[in-house]
Amino acid sequence: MPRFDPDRNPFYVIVYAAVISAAFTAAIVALHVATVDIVERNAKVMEQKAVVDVFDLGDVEQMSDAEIIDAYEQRIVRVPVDPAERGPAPTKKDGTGRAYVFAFQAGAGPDARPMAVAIPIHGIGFWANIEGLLAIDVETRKAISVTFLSHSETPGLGGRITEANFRNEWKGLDMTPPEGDGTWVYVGGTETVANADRYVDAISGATGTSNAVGDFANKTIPEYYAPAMKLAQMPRDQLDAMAAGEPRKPDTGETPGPPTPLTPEPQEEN
Amino acid sequence: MPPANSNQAELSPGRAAIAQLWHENPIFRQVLGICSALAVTNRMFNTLLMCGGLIWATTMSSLTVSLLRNYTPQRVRIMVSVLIIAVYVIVVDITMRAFFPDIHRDIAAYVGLIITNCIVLGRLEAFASKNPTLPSVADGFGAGLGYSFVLMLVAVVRELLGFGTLFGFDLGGFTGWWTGNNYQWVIMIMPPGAFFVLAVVVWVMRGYALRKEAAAEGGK
Repeated sequence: MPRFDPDRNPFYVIVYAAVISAAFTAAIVALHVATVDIVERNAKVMEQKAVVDVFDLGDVEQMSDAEIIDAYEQRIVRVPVDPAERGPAPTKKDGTGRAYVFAFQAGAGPDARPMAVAIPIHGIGFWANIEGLLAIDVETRKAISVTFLSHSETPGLGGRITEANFRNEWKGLDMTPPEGDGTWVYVGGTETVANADRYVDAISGATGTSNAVGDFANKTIPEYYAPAMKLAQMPRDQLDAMAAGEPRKPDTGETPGPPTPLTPEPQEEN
Repeated sequence: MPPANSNQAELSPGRAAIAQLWHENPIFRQVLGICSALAVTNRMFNTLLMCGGLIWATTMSSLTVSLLRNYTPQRVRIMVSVLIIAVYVIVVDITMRAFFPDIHRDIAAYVGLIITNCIVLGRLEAFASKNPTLPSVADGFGAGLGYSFVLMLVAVVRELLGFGTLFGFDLGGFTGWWTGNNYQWVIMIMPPGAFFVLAVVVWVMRGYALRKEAAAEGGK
């Protein structure tokens, strides 16, 4: 019996290629379907972890996923940025985009005001787009921390924007609107002494990324700051309604109530 | 021992693996897979994960291509091989995304590079498409190990000189002395640093291997 030669029959070649492609594609699709819920949950937890961390609501490295989710759901309200304020959301696999993120005291009721707000900062880094959040204490107008949700910077160099050393540099920065040249934050450079309360040390060996972060922070902070602070004067139930997609109420010009002071301890439940 | 010709048929699994580890090492003898060697080797942990992914891809692709070798038409063999490699790399990507999300975030960009790694396709074309399953698996595994062996050497040098650490661990006095005043040897962290380190590693290892072979030839 002659040996089977798969190349002799063109029909076999076509059928073989189609069957192989279909079989392997089906295997990948099956694996994807089997893990899609886990992947989506991971993406959600990762983002929630970053938000809980940027507000300093706990030590996220020590918290379980359940504790992170609980802290987020109890204390965070996320209001999508109005499209008129550069709001079109960035492409994110979990479907979330740019938002004003508000943090409340533990156990805060519907009338409570946010203790802190995180505004989006975003722009082109050394290689590609960087998306982040800058958390600001509503009462003191000092920066709490910064987090970078997505970037493509060089691991070990620009990629160190996600490390604690660089993020800690942002803690306590003055976040009141600046006078003079209008610079909100100096990243690197020679402004150490003159503007110590707005100065962030650049990453050694990653001047390009550091400069890029400074540039886009100074462009995006003023865009989102005023709307965020205005929303931060609203009670939680109104922010919850906006987070749920209800249209924003027109500005009534009323004097807002004082924000809840930022303290790390949760309120006692009665 | 003279170098084994790992592309010949009827090679034992052990000899096939050893040939890829040393005599025909993909990096310092064949100079293949250099792109990823430059990209990932500034951190030992990233390098280790990349190596694990490549060992998986070469081994499983070799197994599959070898199993299908008598049924795969020659005119579509490259397409089938690339499809098989892509499938195994996507399996790595999805598995890491689902079960190791923190690690995935660090090395996602590198995992995709495995598909284009010429070592994998090279071994499928040169060996697995012509040989039985067991030697093919050993050949693929050996090629992955040979690649990993050299890459880890490069990573040790780059991380040590670039960051003053190994696997991210502080080496006490050395790290403090090396990285004093927040100093880093930036060229070792950037991809061009890999050119220098890789060139030195290839030079040293080739020199050693050639000298050993010459001595073996002279002893006959």
